Amino acid sequence: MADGYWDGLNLPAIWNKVQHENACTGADRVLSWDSLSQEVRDQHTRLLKAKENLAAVWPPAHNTSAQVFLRYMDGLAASMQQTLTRAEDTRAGLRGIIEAIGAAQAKIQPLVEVRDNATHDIIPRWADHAEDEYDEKARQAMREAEAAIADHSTQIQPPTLFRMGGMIEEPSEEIPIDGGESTYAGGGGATGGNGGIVNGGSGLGALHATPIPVEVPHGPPSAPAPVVIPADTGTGGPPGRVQGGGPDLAGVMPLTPAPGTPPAAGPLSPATGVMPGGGAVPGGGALGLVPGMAVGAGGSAMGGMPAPFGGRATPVSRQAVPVRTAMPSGAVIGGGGAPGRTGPAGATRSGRAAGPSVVQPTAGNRGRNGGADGETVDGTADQSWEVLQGVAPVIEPDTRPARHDPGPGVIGLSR
Amino acid sequence: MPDGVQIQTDQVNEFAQDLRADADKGFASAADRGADLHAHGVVFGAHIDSAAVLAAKKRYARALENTDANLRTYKLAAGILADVAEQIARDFAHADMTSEAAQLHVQKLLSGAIADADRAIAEGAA
Repeated sequence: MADGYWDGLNLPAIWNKVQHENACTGADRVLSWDSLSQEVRDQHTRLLKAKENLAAVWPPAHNTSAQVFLRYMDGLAASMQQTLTRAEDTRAGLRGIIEAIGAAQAKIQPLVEVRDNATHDIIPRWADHAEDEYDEKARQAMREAEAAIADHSTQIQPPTLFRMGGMIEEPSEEIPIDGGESTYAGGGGATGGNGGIVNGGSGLGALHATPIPVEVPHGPPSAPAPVVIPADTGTGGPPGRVQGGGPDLAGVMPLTPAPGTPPAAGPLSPATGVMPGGGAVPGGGALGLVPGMAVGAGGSAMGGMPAPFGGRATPVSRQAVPVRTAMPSGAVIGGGGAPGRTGPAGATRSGRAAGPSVVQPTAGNRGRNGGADGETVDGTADQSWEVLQGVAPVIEPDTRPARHDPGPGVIGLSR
Repeated sequence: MPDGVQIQTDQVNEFAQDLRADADKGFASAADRGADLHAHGVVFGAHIDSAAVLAAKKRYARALENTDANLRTYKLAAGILADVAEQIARDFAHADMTSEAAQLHVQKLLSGAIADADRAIAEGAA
C-alpha cells in the first residue's frame, strides 16, 4: 500500500519504529495458532464421529426428535470447521507478516551503523548526501515489507461468531474488518435459511459467542520522536546558508539545551557564530587552536580545533554546536571585520570568565568550496541566545609602553 | 412402534458421557489456547502506524477476539449437548412418547439448557 507514509521518515525514525519488533515472539504465536488449529481439528473430528455414533443409536431418519438434536450438533461442527480453517489461515497470514517485518529489520539494521558513521564523518551531508542514500534504502525496505504485509493480512479472517439457539450464520460469509459485528438474521426464528439450522422456533434464549476486545497497539514509540525530513534538506542552496533548519554537518552534534537550562556564555551563537566578547585576542595570540597546530595566514586564529580562552577546555567546551554560517577564510573569531559578527554590547571578554567557545570547522578548512564565504556572513538570526553578562575584569591589561629589542647579552650583537 | 421413538437410551447415555468428557478436556484445552493467544494480543507493528500495517493489526485483533469467543462458547455448547443427551436418555427410557411429542420434548430440553446457560453467563458478567 503505497500511501507515502515512509517517504517522510529517515532511517533513524524508521528504525525506531521497527527495532522493537520481536520475530521470536511472533514465531511463538504462529506456533500457538498451529497448535490451536490442530486441537480444534481433532475436537471437530471427534464431534463428527460422536454424531455418527449417536445417529446409529437414535436414527434421524426415523426420529424427528433426533433430527432436532443432530442439527444442533451440525451447527456446532460447522462453526468449529470455520474457526479452525480461519485459524490456519490466520496462522499463515501472521507468519507472512512476521517474516516481512523481520526481513525489513534485517535490511535496515546494518544500515543504521553505516549511516551513523556517515553522519559523524568529516564530510557534511550537504556535500555527499550519504545519509540520503541510506534513508532511501530503509524506506524502500519498508515499502516492500508493507506490500507483503498487505498481501498476507488478507489471509487473516476472523471466524463468524458462534451462536447456539438461533440461526447459524452461513460459514462462508465474508466478514468485514471495519469493526462491525457479525450479524445473524432472526433470533429464534423458525427457519434456518441459507443452509442454517433451526432451533425449533421456540424463541427462547440463545448462546452467543461474546468477543472480548483486543487492544490494537498503535502509536509512535516514546523516544526518540520520529524525524520528518524536509523535502529540500541538504540538497538545495549554497553551502552554509541557513535553509530549512540548516544542513546536517558531519561531526556536528545538534545542540539542544535542556529545558530551563540557559546556554553557557561561551559557545558561539548558533545563529550567527559570534563569540561572546566580540573582541580580538589581546596580544595577537592564536585563538581557538590547540597547541602545536599551525596558524593561518597572517596569524589569524581560524580553522583549528576549538579551544577556550586560556586553553582551559572542559569536556563541555569540546561539544560541537551547529552553526548556520561558515566563517570566512582568514577571519578572526569575534573580530569586528565581518558583518554581523560583533558581539553583544557589554559582553567584552565575557568568554574568559564564562567558559570556552567552539568554532565549527569551515568548508574552507577541508579545501572544499571556499569561494562561498562571502555568502555566509549575512542573514538574520533565527534563534537568539541569552548571553550572561560578565563581571568586572580582575586583571587589567598592561598599559605600559612595550619595548621591543633583543635584550642584552645576545651573541653576535655588540653594544 | 411405528409412531414412537427408536432410540437406544444406553448408547445415548454413553454418547452423553463421552461428550461431557470432551467438553471438560478437549474443548476446554482449545478454549485455553484461544485465551492464551488472546492474552498476547497483537504481536506485531506496535509502533508502526502506516495504513497497511494498521489494517493488518485490526484484522488480527478481530481474529483473536472471535476465535477466543467461539472456543469458549464451544465448550459451553458441548456441555449443553451432553447434558441434554443425558436427560434424553433418562426421559426416553421411561416414557413411551410419540414422535411429535419426543421432538417437542427435545426442543424444550435444548432451549431450556441454552437459556439456562445464557442466563448463567449474563449473571456471571453482571
